[in-house]
Amino acid sequence: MSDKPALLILGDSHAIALRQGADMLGLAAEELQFSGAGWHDQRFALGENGLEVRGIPRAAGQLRALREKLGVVDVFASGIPVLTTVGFHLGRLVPPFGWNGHQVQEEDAPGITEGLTASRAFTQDYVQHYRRRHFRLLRRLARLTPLIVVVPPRVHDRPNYDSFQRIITEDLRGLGLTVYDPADDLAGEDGFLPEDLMAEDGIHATAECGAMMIEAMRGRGLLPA
Amino acid sequence: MGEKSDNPYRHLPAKAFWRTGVAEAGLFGLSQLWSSAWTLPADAQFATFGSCFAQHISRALISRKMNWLNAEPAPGRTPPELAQKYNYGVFSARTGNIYTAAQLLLWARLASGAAGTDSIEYWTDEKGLVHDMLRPKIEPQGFVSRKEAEASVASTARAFARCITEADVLVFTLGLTEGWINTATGQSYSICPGTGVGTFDEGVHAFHNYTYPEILRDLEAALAIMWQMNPDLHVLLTVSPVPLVATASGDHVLVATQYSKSVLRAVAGDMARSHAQVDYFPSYEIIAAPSSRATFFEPNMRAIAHDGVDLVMRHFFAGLDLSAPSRRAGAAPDAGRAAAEAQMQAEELVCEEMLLETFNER
Repeated sequence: MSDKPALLILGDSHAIALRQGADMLGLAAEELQFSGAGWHDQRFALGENGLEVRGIPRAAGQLRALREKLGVVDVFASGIPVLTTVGFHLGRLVPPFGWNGHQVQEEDAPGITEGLTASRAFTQDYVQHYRRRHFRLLRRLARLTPLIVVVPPRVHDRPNYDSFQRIITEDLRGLGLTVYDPADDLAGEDGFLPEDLMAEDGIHATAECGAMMIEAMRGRGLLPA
Repeated sequence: MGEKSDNPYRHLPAKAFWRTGVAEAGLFGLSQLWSSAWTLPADAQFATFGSCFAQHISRALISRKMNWLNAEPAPGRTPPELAQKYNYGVFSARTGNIYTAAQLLLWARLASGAAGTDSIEYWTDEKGLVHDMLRPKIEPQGFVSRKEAEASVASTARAFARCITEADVLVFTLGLTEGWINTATGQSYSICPGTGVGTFDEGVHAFHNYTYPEILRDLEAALAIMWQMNPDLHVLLTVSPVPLVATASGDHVLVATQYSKSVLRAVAGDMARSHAQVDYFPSYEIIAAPSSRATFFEPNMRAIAHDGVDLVMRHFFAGLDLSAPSRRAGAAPDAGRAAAEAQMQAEELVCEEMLLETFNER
């Protein structure tokens, strides 16, 4: 086995900031990333060799290269800490939920006066339907290696995003997984990621923000200092 | 003297006589049972509410690809089993069964704003989950809070209002005369408190067998509210042929059923006769009249067999007059959905580009 990285980063486009942050901190990190659409569409499977990517040649190639580089078949069972953004992919999950005008009534939000509402129980079932396999993958990985699920940064207040993020976070914690929410350390007074930590696209975090997240996780003892 | 004297019956069509209209026609030869009182546009929108038999009308309209107005659909991309679990797509809004005219009046008042969601009774179960007593089984477990329960009632009331204002025809199936009311608040329950949801309190909860005048009054009041909201709304009344599952009247359930259906049938008929915008469709007769010899009742003599529903719906579609010009030709696709899809695609493009750029950097 060649030089062992300090971190493995697994996920969608939100994982990029983590990877860039690791680079900024001089941490040796390796990654497997593909789009939120691919994750949402469940282009992955758990096989004898651990995580497999299905139908995304670029990502499958990335995984093959990683196996060769690390000299192991099951990359995510090698004991290297894994930071992952798998399980959220809100950009694919939340908009369709609102196509017919549904919103989730949150206890701390004003009463919804227009459109339709969906109950929290329904929304939890909806999330489970689309994320059950992702949660199973994460549980499996967490049994094999230290794993931290990183919540995507809160960057806007579009309807239902907070509700879905909260439900998924609660589900993951309910499964005994370690979840890090950058809002706990980096959010401004308004609860959103400050603009200077946001990438130009207004959706993702910057490399600096990625580094700050890793430092924060270290500070909380979630990652080795 | 060999010539018969003239009388009104001599000029009546075959359908007016039992022998030619029923006995000789046979169950599957019945014709002209109903013809729509109105000429509707080819793309007429139908909203369906009422007792459980109304669900068959919803399904038949959907299967015929007719314009069944679903004003409270499940969220987008909800899998069918989940939609079913949460009672989406059963009626045109998520009202659950509306068994009595009193409940229809309450929904009309909620839809018009004459009543607020705080006028509904809510019950908290031992797990702390909240149920609205107007739709006690709409959520499989209940709502997490009173706030959420009220928000859901308000959502359905808005959808019900949309049905009133956007539908061409509101189909309402009258189901029961018997019900339970709260003597303190006047709330009409869809099921007796304590039968699955709620706690029965004999000091507050009272059995009430709505009489003909009460049902007529409530129906008139409900339709008056609806016509204030949409003067062009047509209302098609039907009576559920499904017998009572139980009676609290003290009568035998068979006798109570016949009484209940007879009263509902009479109210529906009189409403149709007294309002040009109300019509009656005889689904009850098709299933329950002697002509069917109870053929369409399942062995429990209560549930209606699929063939019976099919026959009912054949008569329904045969009698519909959809010969007026369409009014919604070329309707634009849902703008909200299109915008959401566009946004999703745009964000996905951003994400893909970011991933590719990452590769480019290494």
